[in-house]
Amino acid sequence: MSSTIAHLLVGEKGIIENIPFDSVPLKLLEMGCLPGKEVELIQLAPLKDPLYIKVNGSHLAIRKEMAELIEITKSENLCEVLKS
Amino acid sequence: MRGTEVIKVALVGNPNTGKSSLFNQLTGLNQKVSNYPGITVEKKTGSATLNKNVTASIVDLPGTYSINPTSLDENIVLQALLNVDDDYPDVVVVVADVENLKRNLFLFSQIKDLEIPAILVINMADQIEKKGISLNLDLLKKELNSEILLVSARKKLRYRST
Repeated sequence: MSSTIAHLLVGEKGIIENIPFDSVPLKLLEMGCLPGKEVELIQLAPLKDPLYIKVNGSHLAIRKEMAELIEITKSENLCEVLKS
Repeated sequence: MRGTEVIKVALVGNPNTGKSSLFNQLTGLNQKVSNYPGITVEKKTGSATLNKNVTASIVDLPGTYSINPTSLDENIVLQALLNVDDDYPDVVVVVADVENLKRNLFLFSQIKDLEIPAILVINMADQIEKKGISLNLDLLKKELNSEILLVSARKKLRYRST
């Protein structure tokens, strides 16, 4: 199963693969949350909802249910790179 | 006023890009400016004398990320651009923040799509050197088919090139 923004750990980055255009607010797309863009999880609120992300130069806070809809591929984990 | 031509100019742009700063510089008025989005929530009008025969009536509009309104103040921008009121602008000045140019250009492309005459003003140009931003203005002008100005409203400067 592909991962979503909700699967990111704080500090991790990913590339957006797929966004369900029908179920995501237009605003999110307008802010540059589009396939091919890099997304970074900056912070999590208590109870892990909402999520504070950075995409296309904008800082956005989105609900967890929204984050679960946006499919990404995780970028190479920095820790793994350092280990190898 | 006899023999005086008035052109209507609308300032449009993302929140917190310096529309009101530019407005104050152009009109000599003292509209409230702060360094966070959402300060301007209604439209304000001022005027600037361009030369003996031409006066510009400048409208400062609330910041918006797109022309699809999601709030009351964003709706003001749409109304101004869609000729709902009688103060339809002759030219739209899209004010963009040099640090978030990509996001700002989305709004610019929407306004271009409406076929309203528009020019792009890239504000906060004093940040270019500081932040290590490089801009190919000539290419951008060609791609957007528009006039582009580099300014710093706060420092009252216009930049010729990078």
